[in-house]
Amino acid sequence: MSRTETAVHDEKSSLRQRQRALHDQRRLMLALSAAGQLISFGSMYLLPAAANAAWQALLLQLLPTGALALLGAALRRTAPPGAAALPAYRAAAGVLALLFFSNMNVSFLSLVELTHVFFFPSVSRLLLALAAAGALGLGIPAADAAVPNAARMLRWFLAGAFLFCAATVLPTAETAYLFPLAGYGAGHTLRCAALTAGSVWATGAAAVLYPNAPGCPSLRGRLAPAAVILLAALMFFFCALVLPGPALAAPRGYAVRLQLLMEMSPNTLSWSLMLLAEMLLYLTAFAVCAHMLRRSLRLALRWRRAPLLPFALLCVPLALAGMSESEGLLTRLLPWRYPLAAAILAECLLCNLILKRKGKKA
Amino acid sequence: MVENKALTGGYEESRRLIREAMRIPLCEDAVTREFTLMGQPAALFYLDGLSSDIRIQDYILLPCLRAEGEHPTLEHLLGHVLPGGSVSSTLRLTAVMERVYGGDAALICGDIPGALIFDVKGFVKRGVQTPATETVVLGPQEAFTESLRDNVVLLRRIMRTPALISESLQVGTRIPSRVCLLYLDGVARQENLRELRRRLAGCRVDYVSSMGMLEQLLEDDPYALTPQLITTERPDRAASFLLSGQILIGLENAPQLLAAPMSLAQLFHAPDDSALRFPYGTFLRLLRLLGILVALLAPALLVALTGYHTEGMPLTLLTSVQEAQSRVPVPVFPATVSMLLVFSLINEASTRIPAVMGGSLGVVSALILGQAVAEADLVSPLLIVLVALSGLGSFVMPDYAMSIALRVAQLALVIAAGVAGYFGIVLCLFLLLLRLAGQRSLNHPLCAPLAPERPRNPDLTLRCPVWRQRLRGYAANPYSMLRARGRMRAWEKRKP
Repeated sequence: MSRTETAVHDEKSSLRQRQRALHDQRRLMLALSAAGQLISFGSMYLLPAAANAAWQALLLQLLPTGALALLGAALRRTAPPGAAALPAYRAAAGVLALLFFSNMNVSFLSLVELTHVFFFPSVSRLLLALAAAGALGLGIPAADAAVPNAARMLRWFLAGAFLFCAATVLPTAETAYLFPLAGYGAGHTLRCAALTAGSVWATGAAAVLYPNAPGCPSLRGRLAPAAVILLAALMFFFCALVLPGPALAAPRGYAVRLQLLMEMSPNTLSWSLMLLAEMLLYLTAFAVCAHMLRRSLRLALRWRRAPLLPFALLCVPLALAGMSESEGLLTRLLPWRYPLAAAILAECLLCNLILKRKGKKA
Repeated sequence: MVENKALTGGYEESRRLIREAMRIPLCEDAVTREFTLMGQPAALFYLDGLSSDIRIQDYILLPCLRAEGEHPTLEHLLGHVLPGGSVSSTLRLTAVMERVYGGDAALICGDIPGALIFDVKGFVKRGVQTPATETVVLGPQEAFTESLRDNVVLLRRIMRTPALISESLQVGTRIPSRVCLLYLDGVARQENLRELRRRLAGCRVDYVSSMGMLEQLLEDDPYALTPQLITTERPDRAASFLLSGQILIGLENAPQLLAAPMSLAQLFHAPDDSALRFPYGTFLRLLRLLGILVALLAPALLVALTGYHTEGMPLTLLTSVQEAQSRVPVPVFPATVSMLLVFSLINEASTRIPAVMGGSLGVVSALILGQAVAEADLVSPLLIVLVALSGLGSFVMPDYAMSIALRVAQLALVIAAGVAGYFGIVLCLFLLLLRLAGQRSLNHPLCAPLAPERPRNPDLTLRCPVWRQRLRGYAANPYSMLRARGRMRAWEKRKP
């Protein structure tokens, strides 16, 4: 048999490429985490003041996540040999663990709220939260590749679900929002423009964040997984489109806003798909954050095994507090974790540079 | 256990050792034929029924009895006396026992150290027949048999290349079974081969009775729901695995071969997919995918919709479901679980029942469990239709092990739907998916090349045209991943 030689990428034979693939997986998880957060915040902020809230959500989530990813990459490049053992590096991992834990809280809160409102209004919130925390804490496997692989597989379902929903819901939406000047005037036009730009901006950020899968052509590798982020942006877009004008201005609760959105669904299938896809996104976001938390803890505390159940159970109290209180608390506290993490990462970067210079001199 | 002694102590000592090892005269089918070969005492050992009497007579006894001269040497016997094609010599008692109990005959003679082994197998065996579990409409109709040698021959008939390597190993500490590793040199990865050899050498079990047992000893995660090594009984499918860079594992007395590493997508591929034109193949694959989704989700969705989310059903459907359900005393959730269990019961019974009683099983399942139950209003007709549909869906799964996994997952999803509606379904599906995504097959991700993405043959979910299938599976040696250079339909003129 004649052997044909080709320059196909061999992941196992190249340590460098393998590391690149690992970094790609991390970026993928960061991106998915951001997507989950977008949905969470999107649901929380769902259009009391649509455009501003969407912008806030985008800026609060994607920009810091991207900045952190870039800082992390710089940190890896500048790290001297044995940097993993440096206290500063481990401290940064600790802060990242905190960041991912707070993301877990947001996803869990949204999941419990959705479940309580739509499925079990008569069941106590404590029972629901405990059941969900138990199932997730015990059910998320410790295998390194499990969560990113599952996220990769889910993107096709999510894409299909969102496209179907968009196709069925948009025709019944307020067409005036497609041509705002004709319907609601300049203010609404500007809001929609901001929203649309925000969606595009989110897609662009996703393309930067997103991995180029090893061995795949560049464009394909970047575009296919970026669909998840694009869908998150699309979700904002059609949320804005389907809700009638008065709903935008009124201060509505989370459940009422979701209910309004669901009632706009022209058929039962799109209603079910919206519900399932939303739950699946919360679950994915929770699992991704839990996975990253576990990795960060391993690095920060040198834990060989970090059980997730205690952290999942720690998410329960916030979910019990109720949406409005939790929402208020989270919106006040959550934005601060990104500057905090960025500051510590920057400090680590500085430490690395100093150590590197000292090493060169020595 | 036979001690691994050397047969170098002379004729009498060797004869005694072999007779003791073969439990002669206690064991009635162990035969010792003693005679004189060129003036020296000689003894032939074999098992009655396992070895062919005619071959023994033609290739060993007649030439030996007719040989002339004195003081036979090994070289003389091999060069001038024995006409058989497959003769070898060994000094170890365990090797002699292994060969004799595999159907060969052992000859010891005078001062010649060790024993001569003759390949004179003649035991009864099943001929090549049509496949029982991997049936196809188009394509070859041959299946592997229990004879490992025949299985290798069937593969060699398809792949006439010296690159097809067949390595022989053994597993089993007390009663060794012959295992064969088959791979294409230059296509299969050396890392995979090394890992497989390491795992086979690490199987500490007294006897490996079946391929299923060997699979459980070799797979990465024995507690997982899905299989991590793929089984086939078709030589043409085994050949396609070899071409993808996978390694085949054959076991004596097993009419299937295992392939490792495997990809999850391969479990959904039917053997004749590649024999069909690509529009037909793609259509059938999509149909299969639909069937699998129906099998997995239809009963669970019915339970969730009727129990928790009636607003998720169209009004007309809701009316008819409620009307039908109003006559039934059993709620939908327990009725669905019972019907699924009954369906599995019928399925299992139809597998085990003797063929002559198959008709009565049809009567029992169709008339009594189907029609009569519906007429007695024990379950609604809609539920029967859905359970039958999901049963059909599970039958389209080409892999038998995976179809059982599908039924287990289906039951788990129904229970989750009964407990928590849509939320239960989504949570259960998500946890199953996480578990699946973390599994590995021979250290390769099971869901690759889809997740994580790997360079691959595009023939995964859809059956891509054969002329676009330029790459082998991701498990192949990276330097041999390209199947063809240039255009496969090279006779076509390029458009100007």
